[in-house]
Amino acid sequence: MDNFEFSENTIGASEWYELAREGGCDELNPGVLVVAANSALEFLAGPLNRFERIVVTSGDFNDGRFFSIGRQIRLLGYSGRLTVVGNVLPDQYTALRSCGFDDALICEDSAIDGIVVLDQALALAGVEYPVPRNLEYHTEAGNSQ
Amino acid sequence: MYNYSINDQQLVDQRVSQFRDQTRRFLAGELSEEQFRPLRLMNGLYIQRHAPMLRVAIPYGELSSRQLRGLASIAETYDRGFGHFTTRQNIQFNWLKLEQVPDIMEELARVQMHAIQTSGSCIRNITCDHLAGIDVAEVEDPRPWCELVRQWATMHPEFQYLPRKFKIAFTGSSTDRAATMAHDIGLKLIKNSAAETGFEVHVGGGLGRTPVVARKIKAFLPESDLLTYLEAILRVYNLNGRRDNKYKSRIKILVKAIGLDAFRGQVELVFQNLNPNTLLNENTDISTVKSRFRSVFPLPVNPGSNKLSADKHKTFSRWLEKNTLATKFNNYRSVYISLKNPDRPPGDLTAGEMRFIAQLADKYSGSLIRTTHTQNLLLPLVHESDLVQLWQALTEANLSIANIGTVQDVICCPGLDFCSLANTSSIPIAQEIQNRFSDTDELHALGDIQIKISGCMNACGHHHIGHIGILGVDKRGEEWFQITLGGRADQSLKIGERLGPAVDRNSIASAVESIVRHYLRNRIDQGEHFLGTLSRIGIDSFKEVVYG
Repeated sequence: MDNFEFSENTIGASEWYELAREGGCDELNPGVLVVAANSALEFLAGPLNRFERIVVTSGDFNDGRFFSIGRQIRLLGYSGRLTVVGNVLPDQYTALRSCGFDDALICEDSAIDGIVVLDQALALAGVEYPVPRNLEYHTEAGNSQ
Repeated sequence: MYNYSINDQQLVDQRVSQFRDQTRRFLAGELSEEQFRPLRLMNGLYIQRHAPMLRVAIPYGELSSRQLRGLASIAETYDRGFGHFTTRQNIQFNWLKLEQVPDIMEELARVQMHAIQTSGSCIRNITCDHLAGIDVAEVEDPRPWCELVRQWATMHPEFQYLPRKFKIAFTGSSTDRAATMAHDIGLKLIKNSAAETGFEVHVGGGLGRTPVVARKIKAFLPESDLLTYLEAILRVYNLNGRRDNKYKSRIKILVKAIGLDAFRGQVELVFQNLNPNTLLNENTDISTVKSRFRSVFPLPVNPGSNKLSADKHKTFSRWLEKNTLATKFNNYRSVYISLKNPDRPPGDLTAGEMRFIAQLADKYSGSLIRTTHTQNLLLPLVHESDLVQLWQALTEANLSIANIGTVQDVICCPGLDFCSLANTSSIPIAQEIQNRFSDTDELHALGDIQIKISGCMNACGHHHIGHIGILGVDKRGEEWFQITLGGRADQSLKIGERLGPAVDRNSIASAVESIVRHYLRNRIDQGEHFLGTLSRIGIDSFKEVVYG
C-alpha cells in the first residue's frame, strides 16, 4: 500500500520532510501527501495546508496507527481532505471520522473496492453507531466540513 | 456510586445495537472470523475452552445492589448459575451462547453496566483501590478520577486498535492495594509542596512473560493535565509499540527498548501539542463527574439484638479482626466477604449468593458492594452496631469464613478448568493448599501470606508478585509447577525469586505447606512477616526444605 499513487501529483512523507528541512517546500506545489501509517511523527512537517489532500496508507484494519496519524495531522492544523487507504471496516468509520478523516479508500490485496465518504456512509448506516459525546475530536481539528 | 448521565446511557445502548449488528453479520457470514475477532474482543467476548466467555466490567470495582442482582439474573438465565470475580475487578461468565450475548449486553445496559473494552488490544477496565473514599490514609478519593478516565477511554476513537492490551490502575493512598506498579500506567494521587492535588505517574509495569515493575515517568502531574498526559502516552505507544510480535508488544517492552528518558521525551513532545481545553470540555470536567456520585450517607442503623452467646465470641472476634477494618468514618467499618473457601473456586459466587449479598448491602451498607483485586467482595461501610447481625447472616449463608489476607486467601486464575491458554489447572491447586491450612487457630497464627497461582506464563493469577507464587508449566503433557518466593504487590512491588526446579502435580501442595511451616518454625515471633523471615534467613534455607 505504501506505493499507492492517489494521482500523479503526489509526494511521500519522507521526501516532503527532506524538502521541508531544506526549505524547498515553496518551490513545490503538490496536490497529495502520502503518509504511511508507520511514519515518524516528525515527517509531518512544513506547511501541510498546501496539500489538497493527505492520504494515510494503512496496512491492515487491525493496525491502529492510522488513527493516531490522522489525529496528529489535524492537531497540526491541516484543514484539507484527509483520506485513509486500506482494508478498513465499516465498524471503524465513526472512529475514523472522529480522528479527522473525511473519506476511506477501501482496498484489499491492492485491489480498490471504492471510496467511501464517511459522513455519507454514516448517515446511511442502518445502525446508529456510538460516538463518545465527551470527545468531539473532529471539531477540535477545526475541520468540521 | 456513579450514576450514568443520559449520554452515558445512550452510549452503552448504542453499543449494544452495534454489537447485535456485528454478531448478526458474523453469523450470516458477512464478517470473517478475523474481522469479527477484534470486534468481539473489545466487547469482552472470548472463545474459551468450553464456550464463549464474557468478561463484564465493574469499573473501579464498585457495584450497586441492583447491579449485583442484574449479574445474578444473567448468571441464572444465560450461564450455569454462577460468576467469577477476577483480579481486575471484572466478573466473568463462562458458559454462554454467542447468539445470546447481545441480549446479555442489553440486560447489562439496563443496570448501567457493560463489557466494553474488557478484552482486546485497547484500554481495559480502570481499576482502583477497593478502599477508595473510606481509607484513613487517603490523599483523595480516586473514584471520580477513575470514572473520568473510564469515560475518556471508552470507545476512544484513536485507541481501539493498540499494539496490545493496556491497563490503568489508580490509588489515592500511600498503601497500594491495586497493584498499580504492575500496570501499563499506574496513577497515584498525591499532594505537592503547595498542597495541590496531582498524580505521580508510573508507566511500563506488567506481569506476563516479562514481569516489569512500572517506572516513574512524572513525579507530579497537575490534575487538570491528566487526560492530556494519558493521551500523549497512549499516542506514543500506539505509534511506536511493536506489532510484529505479540509477546513484545506491551508498553513495558517499548519503554525498556528506547529507555525511560527517551520515552518521556516523546511523550512530552506530543503533550505540548495537545491543548487540554479541547479534551476537558464540560462533559469531562471532574466536578461534573464528582456531582454524579451518590453519597451513601445517611446509612440506616438496624434495630435488633447485638448479643452473642459465649460460644460464638471467639469466632466472631476472629471474623472482626480478619474480615473487617476501620474506615475514616467514625463507627463505620468495612466488611470483607471472602470468596476463598476450599468449597468454592477462588472468586466464584452463585446467583443465589449474589442476591443474598445484594440484600445485605441494601440493609447494611447503603446498597453498595465492591470487588477487590484479591477476588473478594467488600461491603464498604457498615455501622458497628450492625456487625453482629451481619456476621450472623453471613454465617448462615457460609460466607463468613475469616481468612482475608491468610494463606487461604489465594489469588488464582481459572486455569485449565476454563481457559484455553492455560498449561495447568489452578483452581484444584488452590483448593488443595487451602485444605492444608484448614485449622483456624493455625491459619490465624500464620498471619498474612499471599499465595498467587497462574496456570500459564500470561500470569493472570499474578504469581510473580505473590509472597509465594506458583506458575503452572507443561512438561511433555504433564502439569508441573514453578515456585517463586518474595514477590509483593503493594507500594514496594517486587517480582519474586524462583526457588528452584518445577515440582510435579502431586508435590506442589506439600511443597507450599513445607515453605509455610518452615517460616512458622523460623520466625522470631508472630510479628515477623513471611517476607521478613525470608529476607533474614534467605531463600536457600527454603530450598533445602522443598528439594531436600
